[in-house]
Amino acid sequence: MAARLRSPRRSLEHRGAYWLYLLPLAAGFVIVVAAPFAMNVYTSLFHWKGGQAPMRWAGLDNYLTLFTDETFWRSFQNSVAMIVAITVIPTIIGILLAALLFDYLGRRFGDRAIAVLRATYYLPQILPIAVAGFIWSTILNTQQGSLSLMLRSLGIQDPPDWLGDPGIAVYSVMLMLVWLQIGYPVVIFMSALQRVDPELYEAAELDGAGWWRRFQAITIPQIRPEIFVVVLTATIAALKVFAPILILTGGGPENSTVVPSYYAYRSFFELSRVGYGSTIATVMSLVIFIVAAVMLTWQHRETRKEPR
Amino acid sequence: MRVTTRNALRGVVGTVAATAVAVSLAGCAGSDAGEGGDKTFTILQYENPETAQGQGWQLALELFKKKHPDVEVDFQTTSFDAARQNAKITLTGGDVPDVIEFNKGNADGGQLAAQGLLAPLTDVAKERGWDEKITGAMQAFAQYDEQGLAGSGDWYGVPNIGEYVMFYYNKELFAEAGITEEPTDLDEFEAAMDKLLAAGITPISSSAATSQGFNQMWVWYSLVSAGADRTSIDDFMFLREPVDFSASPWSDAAERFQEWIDKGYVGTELGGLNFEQATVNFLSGDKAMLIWNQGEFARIREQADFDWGYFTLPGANMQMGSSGHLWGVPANATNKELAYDWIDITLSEEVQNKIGQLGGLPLAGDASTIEDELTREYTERFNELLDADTLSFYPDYPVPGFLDFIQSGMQAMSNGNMTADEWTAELQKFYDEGRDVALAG
Amino acid sequence: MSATLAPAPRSSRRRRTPLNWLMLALAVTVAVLMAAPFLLLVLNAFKTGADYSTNGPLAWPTTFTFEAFTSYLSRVDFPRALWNSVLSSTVIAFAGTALALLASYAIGIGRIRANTAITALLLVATMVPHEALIYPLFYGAQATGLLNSIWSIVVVFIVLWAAYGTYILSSVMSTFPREVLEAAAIDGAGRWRILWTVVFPIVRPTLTVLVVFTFIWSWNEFYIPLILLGDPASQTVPIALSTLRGQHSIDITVVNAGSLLSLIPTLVFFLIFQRTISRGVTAGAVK
Repeated sequence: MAARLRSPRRSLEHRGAYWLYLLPLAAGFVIVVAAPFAMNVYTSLFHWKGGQAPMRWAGLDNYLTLFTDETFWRSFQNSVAMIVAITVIPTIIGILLAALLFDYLGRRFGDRAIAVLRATYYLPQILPIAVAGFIWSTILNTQQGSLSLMLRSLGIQDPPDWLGDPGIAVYSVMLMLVWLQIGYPVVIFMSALQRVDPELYEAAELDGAGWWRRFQAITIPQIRPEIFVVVLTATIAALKVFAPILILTGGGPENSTVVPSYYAYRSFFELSRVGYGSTIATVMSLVIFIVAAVMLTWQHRETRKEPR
Repeated sequence: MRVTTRNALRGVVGTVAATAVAVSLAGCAGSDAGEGGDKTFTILQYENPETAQGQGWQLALELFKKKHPDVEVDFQTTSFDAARQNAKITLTGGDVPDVIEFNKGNADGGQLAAQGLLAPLTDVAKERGWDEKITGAMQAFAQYDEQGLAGSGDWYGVPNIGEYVMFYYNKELFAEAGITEEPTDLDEFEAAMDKLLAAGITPISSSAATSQGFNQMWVWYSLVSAGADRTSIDDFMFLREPVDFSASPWSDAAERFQEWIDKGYVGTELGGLNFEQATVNFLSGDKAMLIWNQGEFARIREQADFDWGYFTLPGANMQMGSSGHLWGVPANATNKELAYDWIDITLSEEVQNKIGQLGGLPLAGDASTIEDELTREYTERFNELLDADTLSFYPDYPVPGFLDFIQSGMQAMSNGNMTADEWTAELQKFYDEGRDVALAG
Repeated sequence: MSATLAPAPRSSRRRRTPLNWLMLALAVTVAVLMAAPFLLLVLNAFKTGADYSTNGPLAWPTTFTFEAFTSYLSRVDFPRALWNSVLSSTVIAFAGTALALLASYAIGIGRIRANTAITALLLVATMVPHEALIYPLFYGAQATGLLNSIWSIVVVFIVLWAAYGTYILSSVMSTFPREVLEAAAIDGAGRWRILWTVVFPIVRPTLTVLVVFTFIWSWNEFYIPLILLGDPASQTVPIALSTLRGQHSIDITVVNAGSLLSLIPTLVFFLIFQRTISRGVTAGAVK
């Protein structure tokens, strides 16, 4: 082939033309996300009952009300609990399980066993959330649910009122969320572990490093990109969590499990306070943006530090 | 992995082909739905087809098709939650169903009416005689004024059935506790419950979860109704006069409600239970009574493996009950005349009596035609209450968001975290705020 | 790799110490805990209503029956809902991933200006809570005539998932070996050809994972379809399932049966594709 000496520089770095590739998504983004979100912010400046009711100007009234709204602050507290349940715990358990399955058991019991176990761990993720909520409301039924039954058979006479006690309900919801979420990090980390060069492990072992030390010094740093992806996406999901609350507790008991998303939903559809609901949604989005921006900037700096 | 252009192209072609096929197929599917225009008559409702009302409507469907053989009928089923949630948004569009089932109350039906999303039916109702079939308290939630408050104004909806709340009870457990006859007033009722407690049986199966745990709310409101009269209920429901919750019957009911909780009449750990679980607790023979409406009549009838009976709250002035959900005609519907025919058919003798046979409490049926004795008595009891005009509706209708608020209060009281006085104060505040907003328009 | 030094006990498959079995037992216990709730579903789908009411949700069925299933199928147009779900999820998964591929190509390899800002902006799409979007999306769908058509949710979710996919892929792309790209460019290949002949095959494992995840996630989407798909003819499986929840009465065994049926398609899909997932999200970032 006649080598047309086109300077590689030009064809690869002619950045202008790459914009074309971005166009479809950018257009979609504007239509589906940016414009609606802008409308949402606009609506937050009004008092509105929704549908064809008149929109009455409120200015920043809704925002002022929001900052003194106790339920709203409580919902943010619960968001932290959600983050623990969706990000922190499953990620930690996920890494351990993935390492257990991949490194440890894989060698001794074969790939089939690992595949079966992994598929089972991922099962909760394929459930429609409505079904998951429904199943867990049966499990968490204080008198007749399986959890209580199990505890009673172990001799604990008075199991707590899982979903009815305002002090405990949040933890019950967290329990379901952990169950739901574990499969996601496990699958991702297990595939990430395939990337790790076994030679690193062998070298470490020769140096006398035990399993835990190897785990700390090699495994975790090697799969750091995946850990970051999981943590970021899970945190965003945790801040947005809605359906489990709707199905399991409806925000109760005594408003103890309200999360921002659910509060917005309630404002939109139960209380018919669309303007206020938009305010909640806007503030929520801002919080999520900030959290994500912080995390992304942190990741950016970390990867810059990494030797290429 | 040698990647060839061929493989890559295959991938692209595959995706494109799949999309193309999908588009064309969806195009076919899409053109069926929603394109009816004048020739398709669309009905949107959310009743379980196995219930009495559902079955009545199946019959109505047949009758309608016979009457209008050239019309294509699209009978659509959605869910109660979806309909409630979406109605305000979806009815603003151009492509709406011709007749819909909607939820009664100021927050739902009232708003639809006030925002002009439903066509007023007053003239049609008079013309076709609906206002003679639906009378008294059953008209209350069919009519809404310009602010969307029920109780007066134009007709916007037409109910088919009634509802009322009663205590189903396990005769065998009652016998075990030494209760020989049904209590006739509140004192006897409480005495009976004391006997049940003494025998180690929880008297009332209840629930208080935010999502579908309405039993406690109905216990509380039944107690309110017990001491209320027509005016005080109407003032509360239709936001007529301001309500003082620290006065009778509200404060008395709150205190008695708290007493019942403290004594253990309703059991414990209710915050996480919903009505379905409460029903199972009753049917499994665990608890002696269940407070619920006709919605579980058929199920209890079919599934209880013990002798059972029912009674409304003994010695009460008024009882919880109301009309059922309403048929409405969206303002933007294209087949309004057909819609009126449909509603007419659902109110016809044939359909109403069919509903009656199955225990559905029809508003325009003849109870004497009901073959099954139990069902007949059950229906006659409802008619009694209707004639005496002692139905007090449901407590969450007056202001938007009331349901969640009341549930929260019920949970707090059931868990011992709120006293009757605190509840009264909160109730006053929420109601007053909601009232102000509603009256401001 | 010449291993003549100390013995490598780790590679011995034959030696399964008691500790190994213990760890296996631990892993299996976790698996059982994960799967147990499903058994509840199965258990109660085969009971009669009376049996459930009398004996509660944990008892073994006194008689096995399919009546809950037949009841479900008679109340819900399951084949239609199934078709809607399969169609929409498939299109969303493939088109969304394709869109993400294009966009991440521009960002990760094209290194267009401000790519971090753009990535962050795209990620915004995944961050915005759906309640914030719902009213505007409804009016938009109405205005474009897409309301009640399966295409409304398809368009919405393609964009939302493509944004997520772009984020994942662009970090993979940014570690793509430049030498390979430059070699292809020297050979005279344009951007489009480079994308399909060089980049695509290498990131294909990641793409497959994205397709599978997106399919499952969009299948289970509930909230936006609930609003945009009011017409039962365009309902998806999760929405169809929700029509069973009545205001004053519920057939619990029917809900169980319906849930089980709703579960099977995604389960099958996942089992078929789970091996491809194992090849890795970031396998593309191989040296």
